[in-house]
Amino acid sequence: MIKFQNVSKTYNGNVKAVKDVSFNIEAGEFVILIGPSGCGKTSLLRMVNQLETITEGDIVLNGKSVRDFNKIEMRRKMGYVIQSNGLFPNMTIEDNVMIVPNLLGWDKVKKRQRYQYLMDLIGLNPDEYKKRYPHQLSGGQQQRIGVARALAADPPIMLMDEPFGALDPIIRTRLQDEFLQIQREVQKTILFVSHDIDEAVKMGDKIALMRHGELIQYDTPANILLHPRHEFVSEFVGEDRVLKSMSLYTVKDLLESITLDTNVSSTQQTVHEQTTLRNALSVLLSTNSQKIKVVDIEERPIGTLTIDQIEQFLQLKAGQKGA
Amino acid sequence: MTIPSIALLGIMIPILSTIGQGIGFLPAFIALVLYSQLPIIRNTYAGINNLDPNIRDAANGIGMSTWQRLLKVEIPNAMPLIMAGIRTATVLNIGIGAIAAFIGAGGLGVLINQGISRTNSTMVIVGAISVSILAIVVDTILKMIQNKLTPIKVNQHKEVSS
Amino acid sequence: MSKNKTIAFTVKILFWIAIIVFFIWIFKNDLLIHVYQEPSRFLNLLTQHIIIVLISGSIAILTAIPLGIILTRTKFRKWEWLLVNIVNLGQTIPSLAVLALIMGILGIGMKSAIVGLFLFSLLPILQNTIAGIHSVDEKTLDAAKGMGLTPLQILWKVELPQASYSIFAGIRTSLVINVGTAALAYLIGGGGLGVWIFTGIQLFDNAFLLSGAVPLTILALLVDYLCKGLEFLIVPKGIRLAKQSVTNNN
Repeated sequence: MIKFQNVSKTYNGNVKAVKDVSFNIEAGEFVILIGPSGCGKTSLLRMVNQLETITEGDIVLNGKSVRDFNKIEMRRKMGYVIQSNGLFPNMTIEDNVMIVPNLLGWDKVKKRQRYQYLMDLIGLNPDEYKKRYPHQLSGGQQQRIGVARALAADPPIMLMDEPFGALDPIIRTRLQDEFLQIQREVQKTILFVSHDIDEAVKMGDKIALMRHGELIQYDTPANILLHPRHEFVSEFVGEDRVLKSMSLYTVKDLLESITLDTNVSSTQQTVHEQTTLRNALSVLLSTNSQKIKVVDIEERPIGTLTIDQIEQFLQLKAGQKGA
Repeated sequence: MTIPSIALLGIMIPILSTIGQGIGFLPAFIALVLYSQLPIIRNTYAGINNLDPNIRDAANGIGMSTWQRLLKVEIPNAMPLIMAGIRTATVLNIGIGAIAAFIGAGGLGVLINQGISRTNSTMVIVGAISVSILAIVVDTILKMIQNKLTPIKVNQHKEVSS
Repeated sequence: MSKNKTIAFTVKILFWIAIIVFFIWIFKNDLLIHVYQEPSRFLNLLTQHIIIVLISGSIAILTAIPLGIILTRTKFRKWEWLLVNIVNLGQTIPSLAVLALIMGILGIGMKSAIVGLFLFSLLPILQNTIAGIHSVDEKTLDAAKGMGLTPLQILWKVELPQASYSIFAGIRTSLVINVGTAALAYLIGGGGLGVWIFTGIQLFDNAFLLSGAVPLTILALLVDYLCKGLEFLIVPKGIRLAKQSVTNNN
């Protein structure tokens, strides 16, 4: 759906912000652009909706170069969310959310329905916030409105530049969860800039890790964590990368390749099969028994899980190159 | 500041005439002092009041006394604004000083005054240009002092102008 | 806090007492006599004064705002420093000098007064329009561009509403100065309330002086309040709320 073909960006004739980046994003994929500050991730994102010009190479949308689109029309078909929201202080919440539909000249009934739907989606009361102004809202609420505004005209593509970067950790986690929920419903193709590897692992279908304008590795979160293709990748994701990778899998995933001991005693600590391996390990470490009971959704016991089995599973995953 | 300078001068004269000082230097002097106080006080207050609370907090945190904080942190940081206030006041005063010629206070305004009453346009223009040059020169000198006293290059747009 | 309030309250009370004493003194000595003895002459001068202010002020507003908008477009940014410097220089030149110079060029009359006052009113509005547009939150501009607003839509929906507060402050400053400076119009034959003020000065006649100066002050205060009222109507509610939340945080 979005193809980056040898994209380069040069500022003022000599500063190379992006160097020869190529990768593809499929429809419905959630791709995270990540890297240290100044790595060119934001420049790359801004070249997609032509807020920055492409110096060399091309970005192709559904087979057509972005350069051949009418900039204004193209931008209206892409949702755009930025850090600290950029809501218009002179407009009410309703006007902010509905700005693109207004520009596109939607009729009143359609706009009203859309506004109701979007506010329900982001979990804010449509009537309560309708006539309020951005400055009367909390940071988390403003950012939710920013997301709703980007979704307003139902664009197939969403560009998000560190949308949750300015929020405190608790609100950020909540908004990440909410947004994943929203994405499950709306199924957009998303390009999302982040500097937080935990956010990237949690949110992305794929991660594009950049440094000094170059694309270092473009892969699934699991491969980025378990099969770093470059020293910088393992450095960036941190020494706890194995631990991080454990939040990608649930106990249920482990059950697919490893058989548990079905001899269950009733005194053991219990975890659900949907628990991530990371949390299961944490529970294991906190008990003395070195065994925990695994149950399914209906609380029926499945078997007992040990630290050895988790290790065995991780080695299995690490062995599967390019899974 | 809303009260027009000429009206203030006009009101000053009858009031001061009750103590026999109606026309002349004193009403002009009082009007000028009153006018120059306002921009200076306003900018000094704004400069100290708008100081980044974190900076004030840091000054307290490293154990400065109120006076040390005022002299070493608050005033130096407010200096650009204080100087801007002094500049505004001075330029304003040169302008009002020219008008004061009409109430008999003397100065360059006399050239304009007499030029007008004698319909001598050369005299008017000479008066006007010399007052303008005086204002520009004084303003430039004060600006140089202001730049010297500004610790960091502060964004010019942040000057208070309302 | 309450101590400050008490002081502010006391100052206010003293101020109003001074004003009341001043007016009692004026009426005891019949110093506003010309206003009610020659009402038609008074109204004539007042109308003249208001006309000078209205014409020069509205031309200044209609010129300064578009000029400020043009100068903040990317294409013309390179000329901005030049104009800002001219504006700053222009504001140092005393009002009397501006009027005198215009009279030297255009001769005596109301026309010269209007041209001079127009030039003098132009600068604060231009300066505040440019400052207002520059102070627009970059994030909102980026968001607006990214969502596909055209440059004209960005100007109308994002830049001008956010700059309106500053532009209005400029108009207010400019008009209040204009009202006061218009009193000098008399000197170059422009009429207005200045006629009585300067007659009073020349004849050592306090009654003439105050019959001009007191209505002039009231007019200036009135214009100031009127502008404040208009500001409330014109500046979008959201912007006012934003201003409030900023000042509350300080």
